[in-house]
Amino acid sequence: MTSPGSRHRIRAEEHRARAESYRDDANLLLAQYNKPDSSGALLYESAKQCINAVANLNGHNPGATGAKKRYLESIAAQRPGSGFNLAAGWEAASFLHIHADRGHLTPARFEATRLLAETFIADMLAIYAGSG
Amino acid sequence: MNAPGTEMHPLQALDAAEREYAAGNYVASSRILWQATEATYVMLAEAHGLDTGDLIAVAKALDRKRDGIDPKFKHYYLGYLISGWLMEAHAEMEALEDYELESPHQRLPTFIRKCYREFGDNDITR
Repeated sequence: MTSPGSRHRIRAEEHRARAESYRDDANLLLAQYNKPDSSGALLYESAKQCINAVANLNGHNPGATGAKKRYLESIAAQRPGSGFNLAAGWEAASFLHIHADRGHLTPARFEATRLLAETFIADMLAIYAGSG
Repeated sequence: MNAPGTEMHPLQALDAAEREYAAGNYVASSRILWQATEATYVMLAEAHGLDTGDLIAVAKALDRKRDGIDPKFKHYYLGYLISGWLMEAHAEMEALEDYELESPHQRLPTFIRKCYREFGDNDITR
């Protein structure tokens, strides 16, 4: 755990704020403008910011997406039986990202995937809050 | 039921997927894994008397049933279905980096084998 005011702690708080902002913007784009691709892209960005937030709070700065994924695996491994479905949630966010780039995701698949990505973001923010 | 597009039982398909993955043929392994996943959800639908034409509804119905027993782990069945879609996306578009393939190639076979142990026909000779 990093100390209050440390560089990692400040960075962690910035990532957390961005994660919430991207998630809120994703929901706004969907609800008001019916833009699922843009919304999905922002949910993926929010998911990445969540990983950065928890990592920095614990003194890590994973950088590239591969390193973020490895850090996520370490978070999940520390919490066996917690009920967090982090691996599936991250895969859902990745799936949204792929289809935001390439389109042609059916509305039913988008809704199902968005549900898991949103759950991932909520769970990661809960882990962040519990770590602080 | 065989995996769609193959002559294999889904449990045999898992062995084939693992061989392809080990050989570095990630598009082939992802395609087989998606086919085995899809066949598994069809099997689950039939085993539970659900509509095989809507696998999202199948996953959600099974999650609701599961929530009554173990409410802690969220979206268990829907999560594995989406992992299958991710494999389908890679098979069709080569959309994923190598490091992104590892987790679904580990998680899906474990899930599929568990489903067949609990609900399915394990006789791969038929």
